[in-house]
Amino acid sequence: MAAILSSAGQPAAAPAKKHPADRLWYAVLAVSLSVPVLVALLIFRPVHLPPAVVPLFLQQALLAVPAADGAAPGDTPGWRPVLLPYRCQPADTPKDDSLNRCAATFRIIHRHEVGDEQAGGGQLHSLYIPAFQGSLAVTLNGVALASSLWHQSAVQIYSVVPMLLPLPSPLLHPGDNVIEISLARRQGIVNGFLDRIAIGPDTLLRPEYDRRFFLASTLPRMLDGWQIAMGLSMLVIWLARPKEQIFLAFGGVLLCHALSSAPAILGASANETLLRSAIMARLMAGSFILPISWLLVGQRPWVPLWVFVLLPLGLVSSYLTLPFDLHNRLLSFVIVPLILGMMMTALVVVVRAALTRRDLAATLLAGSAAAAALLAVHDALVVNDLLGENSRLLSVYASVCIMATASAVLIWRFARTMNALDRFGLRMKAEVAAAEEALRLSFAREQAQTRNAILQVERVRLMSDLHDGIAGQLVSILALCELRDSGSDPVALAVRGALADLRLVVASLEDSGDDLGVMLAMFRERIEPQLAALGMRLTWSMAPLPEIAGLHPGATLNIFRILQEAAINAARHSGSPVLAVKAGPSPLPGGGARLTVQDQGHGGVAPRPGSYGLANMRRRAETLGATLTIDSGPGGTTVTLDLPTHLP
Amino acid sequence: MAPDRRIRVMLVEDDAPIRERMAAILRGADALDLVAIAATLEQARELCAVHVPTVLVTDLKLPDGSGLDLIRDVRRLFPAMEIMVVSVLGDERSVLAAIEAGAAGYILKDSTSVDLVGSVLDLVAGLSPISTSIARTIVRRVQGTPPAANEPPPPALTEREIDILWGIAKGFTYGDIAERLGISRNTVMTHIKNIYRKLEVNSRGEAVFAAINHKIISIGG
Repeated sequence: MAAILSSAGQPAAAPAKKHPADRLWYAVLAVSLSVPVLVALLIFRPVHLPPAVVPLFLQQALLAVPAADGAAPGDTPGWRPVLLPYRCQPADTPKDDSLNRCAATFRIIHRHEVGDEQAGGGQLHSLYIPAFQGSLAVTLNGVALASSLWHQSAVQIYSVVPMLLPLPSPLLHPGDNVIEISLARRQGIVNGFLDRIAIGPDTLLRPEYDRRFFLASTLPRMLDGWQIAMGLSMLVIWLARPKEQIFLAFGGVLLCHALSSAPAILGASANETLLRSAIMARLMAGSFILPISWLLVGQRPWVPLWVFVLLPLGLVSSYLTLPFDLHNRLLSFVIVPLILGMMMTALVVVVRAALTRRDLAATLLAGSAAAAALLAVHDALVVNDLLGENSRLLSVYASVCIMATASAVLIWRFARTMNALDRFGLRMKAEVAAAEEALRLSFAREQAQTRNAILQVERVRLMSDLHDGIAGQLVSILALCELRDSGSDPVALAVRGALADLRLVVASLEDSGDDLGVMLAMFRERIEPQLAALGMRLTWSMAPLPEIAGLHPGATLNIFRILQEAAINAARHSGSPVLAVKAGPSPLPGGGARLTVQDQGHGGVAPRPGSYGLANMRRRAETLGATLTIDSGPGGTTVTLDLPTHLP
Repeated sequence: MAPDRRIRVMLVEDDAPIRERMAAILRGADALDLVAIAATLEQARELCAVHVPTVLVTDLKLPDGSGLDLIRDVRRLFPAMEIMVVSVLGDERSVLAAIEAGAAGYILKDSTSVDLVGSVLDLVAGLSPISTSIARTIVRRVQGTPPAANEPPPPALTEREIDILWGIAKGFTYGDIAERLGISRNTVMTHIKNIYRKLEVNSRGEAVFAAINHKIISIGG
């Protein structure tokens, strides 16, 4: 079937490829199929009583039915044997007496043997009735022992509770004892029922009684508590998230269901009105099953959700306004069939969503619905006495089974939503941080661009001024000097120096993009012709340079002037034909870049009186935070400038 | 025979000492024939029409107008004429504007006589010089942001041309680049002349001048 489903849902080209969601669905399907299987194993497993207990059960009793004329049961000598368990047969009782229908008295002759090892003489003996319907009164040798009415609350006539009665030893004679059990019909009970009865040592019977009592009484109350807690939680979630109507509906169903147990909890103080309310609460809970199924499987309801409030409203108003008989008829012929129909529809909705859409929630719910159906089958078998003694009705747990699954699905979804929110939150946080970072960078870039733009405007203006004014005039002066054939006189030299410096200033204003290599390239372009004019050849070598931050025009001009001074000094005074300029990473701690200007002249560089060249170089290096080293010897002079990675 | 082989040069320069110095250098070169000297834009236009030199060496700032106008007119009227701009500072602003107008070379006003004559000869041989700043500016234009409607589209340069520009912008010499690319030094300078020509094809007169300035301003690096 899986193959058919998957090939129908997917193009034929890739039938072998399984979607990961499909795999998940198969896992959920396996879980939800295993639930009914486990339930079946649990409920249809034969109950093995301890070997010592089995013989204590009686198969037979004597039965007497009260006469139609109302004679006392004890007076009637018409005892006849009957097999246990006993189920009231309409033929047994007069049909006209509706009140006393199914009223019957059972007489058991119990032989009490003192000192009997099996009986454990001297021990407390008890009468154990695993199950009955109606009310019981028990007498021992004519002395009234107990009535089930003392313990039974109004609603427990529906659920089958066990009864364990200690037989007081003063009343218990050695030999035959007469135990009489009167079964009476109670309101709401159609048939009386009495299970097999055991008489024996209390120690043997009590564990069996405890087990039964737990299942019949303690467990339902625990489940009531669970339903109340879960229902309130759902309502609280709905209060916080009103648009999730499923939490309201499901919380309502859980609380209605819990309310239907109120008579059992309140016990003897329960009255007719409360009993009726309990029945109505259960019906109300049933009327919400269909909308909840729709919401759970994520399907759009065929009708607006408020329509489903009409049925409970009708139920309540019919109870409050209509005559009792009419209300009862309405209940039996309209409302209950309607609710059963809605439940069947809900089942169809869930199973269809599970199979066609492979909805995980629907698959789980279908599994628990199957388990619930098994419980119903089990009860049908029990009622027809096909499962032997020690079996009890379990269908009260069917709705609990489905509701537990639905709660699990809802809580799982809630947690998943929280997880998704967490992930979303984290992603948003990361994205916001990234956006902020991008914005910050963009802002910084924009600021830098604005700064550069201002600088460039200023540079263009300055260049224009220099170009048209002082630079042109300097060149003119130079030309005049040359025309007078005095190209190498001090005036011409000074003018050349001024022109060179002017060009350095202009170059320093250029944006080098914090790239020392670009900056040095601009210097090379300017120094090379000057050195050539002075008859010196330049060799230039550049190793990959570390990044130097803060190459603003001021710093650039300082570096230019140091290099210019070193280069021109070498050209004028060293006597070397070649000048080597090198750039590379600095070996000094802290990294940075090392620039060297090296000649092969006669050295002897020292501060000369009246010349501030070297002092100026040192001052500029200091401004840059750089280290200036001048090494002058017979092999030549080397000027080394070590720049820090961050210029001030 | 010999005068036919010499390159006919015309000089336009308003500053008298500079004009005289340069004229002396050009006149003194064996390979060159200085056919005319002008000091104003008007004079230059007239003499150009009369002499039609092979190479026009012109200043940008003239007393009666801009050298750029002269360059544009000459490019239109005498497409074969090579134009060289004399720049005081060699800054990319003035040089690039001249290239956009149609110049194919530039030289500093205080260049030595060897450089000046060599540049003229190179230019006639189809070789153009370029500086780091100019290369950087062109690279920015080619690889910068898409131009606005009123700006010229960046020139469509070949990969080789962009490689050369990058090399120059990063401080390599023609020799370095020639070695790296496995071509001759002259080929590098020929490529540069092609780049200049592409820039000129893209030019729209004064608008380009403004656009370059704008580009310089708007592209931070």
